[in-house]
Amino acid sequence: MITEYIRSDSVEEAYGLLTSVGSRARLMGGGTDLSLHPPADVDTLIDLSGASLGGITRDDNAIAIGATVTLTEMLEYEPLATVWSGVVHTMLRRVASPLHRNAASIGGHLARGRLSDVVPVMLAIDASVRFYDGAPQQMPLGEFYATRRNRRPLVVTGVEIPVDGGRAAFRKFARTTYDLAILNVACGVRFDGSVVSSARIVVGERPSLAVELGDASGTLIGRPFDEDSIGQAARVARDTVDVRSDPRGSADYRRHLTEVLVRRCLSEIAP
Amino acid sequence: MNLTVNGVAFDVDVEPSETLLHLLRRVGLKGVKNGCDNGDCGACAVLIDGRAVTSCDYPAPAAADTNILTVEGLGTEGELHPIQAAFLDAGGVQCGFCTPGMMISAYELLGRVQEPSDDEIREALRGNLCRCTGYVKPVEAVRIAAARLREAAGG
Repeated sequence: MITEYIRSDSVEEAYGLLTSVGSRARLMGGGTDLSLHPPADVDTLIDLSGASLGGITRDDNAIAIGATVTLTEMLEYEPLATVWSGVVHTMLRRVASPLHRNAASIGGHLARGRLSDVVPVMLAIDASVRFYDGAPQQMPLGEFYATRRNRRPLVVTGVEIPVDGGRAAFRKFARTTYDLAILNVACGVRFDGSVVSSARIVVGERPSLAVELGDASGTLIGRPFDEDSIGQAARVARDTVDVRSDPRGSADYRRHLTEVLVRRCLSEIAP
Repeated sequence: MNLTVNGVAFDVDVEPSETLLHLLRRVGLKGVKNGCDNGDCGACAVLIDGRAVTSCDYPAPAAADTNILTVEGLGTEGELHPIQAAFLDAGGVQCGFCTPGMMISAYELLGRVQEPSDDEIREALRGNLCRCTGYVKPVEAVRIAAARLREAAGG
């Protein structure tokens, strides 16, 4: 039960509140999740909407998005349509409905991690997360999740997307158009001529937190990108993905979806 | 906390755990429908500072100092808003429960796009579930409302 609602004016203040209240506190972006499903042991919400974390900026290397930017604001930001095959916009149009995208924040998505189409795409396109844990920090999003256990409290302040010519695709499979995905896949690939120089195949809603399938991604590197290499990567993805059953789908079904969606994503990326 | 709803200033006490849906219904705005209370159906949609959102998963304290529009603020007694009139004329209303939310979604769309395509209308209504109409008539209603608003704007 939420008994305290605090509006924070700055990241430093929010961090101070978070460390003094402890595990009973949660930071809040758009609140779409926390208002419906506050964790049982949480009684304090710290609203970040006044903490000056809005706005999107672009320089030669990256697009930087503040944590409280809504998914709609990202959809309205045209430069995002010009990088990584426009995959961020493709994905956002398939997230819930405008009624949710108008409130839900990118920071909330990244901080929660699970139940998200946003996270696998951000992992696939090498996004890095900005946060504050007493000092401003930045690290690749994949590393952020891999090291999340036993971490000190922090405030997610934004995300940075590199703009270096990689290609990407996103697929999700859901029971209805705006249901949560039974499984989703995002792939990001960079080329050196006709040969793949880097690749990330990411699977989300397994139903656990999205992960990169390193073995599957690795099969693509240093080779021409064709039907054979795509088929092999999709099969390795199926054989190595760690999936579970839940009411949305069985583990077997998710394994099958993994192969199909990886193949479709990679085929879309093929030049 | 202070907020403005349909042009009227409110000064209300709010519980930290309350959602905007329950706050608005508590102050008498029953046009904001409690359909699923779970962020799914869109019957509770309201405009907050120009953006349509589901009010059932919007924390009430987060609405402090905002400007809110509910279906009650669309038309006036005796004079329907063009969106409301179009829903009636097109048969876009059957049981009517989802209608306030649909009208709010339509209102946001028509504020941004004067001549929306059917795809744009369907995308705008994507978060409003309707069990009666099959969506064809509401989409037609928004198309008619857009044409009437363009006509009115053009003189």
